[in-house]
Amino acid sequence: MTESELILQKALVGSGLDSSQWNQIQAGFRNRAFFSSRVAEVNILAAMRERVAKYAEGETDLSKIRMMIRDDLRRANYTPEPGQENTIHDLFSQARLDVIIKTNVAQARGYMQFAEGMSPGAFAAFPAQEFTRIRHSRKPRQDWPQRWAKAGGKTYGGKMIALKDDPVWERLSVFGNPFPPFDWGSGMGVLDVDRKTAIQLGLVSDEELRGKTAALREKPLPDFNRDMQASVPNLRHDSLCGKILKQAFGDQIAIENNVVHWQGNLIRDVLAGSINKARLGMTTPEALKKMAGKLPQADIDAFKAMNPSFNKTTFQQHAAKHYGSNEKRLKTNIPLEDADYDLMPAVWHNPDTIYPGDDHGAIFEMQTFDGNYLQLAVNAIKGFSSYYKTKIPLGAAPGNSSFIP
Amino acid sequence: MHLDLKITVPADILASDHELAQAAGRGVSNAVKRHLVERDSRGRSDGLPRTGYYGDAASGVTTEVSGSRAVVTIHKEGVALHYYGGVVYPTDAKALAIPKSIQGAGKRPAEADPDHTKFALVWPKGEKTGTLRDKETDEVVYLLVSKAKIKEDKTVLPTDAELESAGMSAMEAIL
Repeated sequence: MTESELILQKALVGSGLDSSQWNQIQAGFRNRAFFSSRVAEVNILAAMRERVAKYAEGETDLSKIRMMIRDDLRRANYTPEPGQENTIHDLFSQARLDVIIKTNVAQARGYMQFAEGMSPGAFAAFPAQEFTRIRHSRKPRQDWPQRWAKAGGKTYGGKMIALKDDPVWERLSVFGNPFPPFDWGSGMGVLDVDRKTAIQLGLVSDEELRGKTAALREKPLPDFNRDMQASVPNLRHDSLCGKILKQAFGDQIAIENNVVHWQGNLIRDVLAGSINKARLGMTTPEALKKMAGKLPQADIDAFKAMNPSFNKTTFQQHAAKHYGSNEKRLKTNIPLEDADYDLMPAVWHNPDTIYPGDDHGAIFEMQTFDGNYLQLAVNAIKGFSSYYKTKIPLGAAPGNSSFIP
Repeated sequence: MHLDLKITVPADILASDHELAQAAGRGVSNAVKRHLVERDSRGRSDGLPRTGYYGDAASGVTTEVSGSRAVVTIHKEGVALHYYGGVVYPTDAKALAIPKSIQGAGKRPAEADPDHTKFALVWPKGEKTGTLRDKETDEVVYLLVSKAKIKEDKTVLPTDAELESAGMSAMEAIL
């Protein structure tokens, strides 16, 4: 997996949480989310995620990526809060965009280098690492030696060195990660220390190293986006921590017996067959408001009570049927991509518009950052039926009356 | 850019080919990373503020190991161009813009002056180069050229011998 793919696998988490609230969320979950403080609009996050992943590929420069994101923001009709223009709270500002782009890319790269370094062969040859400056800045922070000592790190001839699996790395990081970056915008990173030096410094014995390497052979690092679970003492759904987690991650997590389970990118997991079906939650009050006056009251009541599941078989059958039977619509349809599937829960929870459909149906529509439209067809009785991406909104589609899923 | 390593291991060695490739790949990757970090520490010769270009490149060094093969990649735009050299032509503008002041450092002209109100274009007829100047101060913010020739610079990366030595040392460490 590349850094770019790692970023594209992150779940889009639109939320009003600020940075201090995000800091309360366990690092493992935070790392799996693509978020930005106080950005609730997932279509904006989807655009940013795509651009950031492009930058991670190393094919274009930061300036161009910032300009592309600003174009996306304009298309999504984003405007900063009054009085916040050109501050860190303004998504157009260079400072905010650099934080979003550089932090996400640095974390993906930090994780990649860490994971590669923890492979049995690499770890056996280079079991330790030195905390040092990788990127030189105009005004480097001067307090790193103090922070290193406070985290429990030791120095050897003035160098800050520890084994790769030493807990000092997680304690050093404001993100709680054992890999760089260790702070916002920091140019500090790690350089490997070889086996001979690590043994000479007394960090590990040859025998201990063999044991650690054998353990890595038996139990390699888990896939970044799989099998994540965290045990949180006294965690309840209605506790502050539980509420923050559910508010931020929604259906991406499940809380059972004080254990938080990461459920990954629900829709993509269903389509890949790794889980059978996913529930996207009840119809939201926002969606119910948008149905008012457009749908029969009996259907609105049915929507209010429903908690539909998304099922691969049903979805594919419906998609195939409608793609095959409606040539006029097909011309304006666009193939769905991973980012579009990630947005499906957002279309369900917070559509821009809802149109009535035939036979107790409704079309939930949301504009994407690239100026296209995602349309989720839901039946008040049967649940989710189809999902499309089109070039024109349903309200403006020629002959749209014939398009009733 | 990619460095492709193929590891051939003598038959009497106990460590698996795969783990040796992991070690060798990491050794080469470390050598590249250290080299780029050292370059980053030098600063810029044109007097403009540091951009951390080579530090970013060092952070973008990854190793992909498959069987007994390791591929080390540097995920950073322009590294291969500097290493191999070449001619750069504008693709989405009429000219290449080379920053000459802090106003333009790390930014394309379209980002530094999105409304086209701050800079004045000065390109005398028949001249090979032009400039974008600050309208208020007349400071040259960008030098404009129709193409730029980048000289081959093999010092961007460690030498082949250094890379080979790094890979070999890493393998020897786990034998």
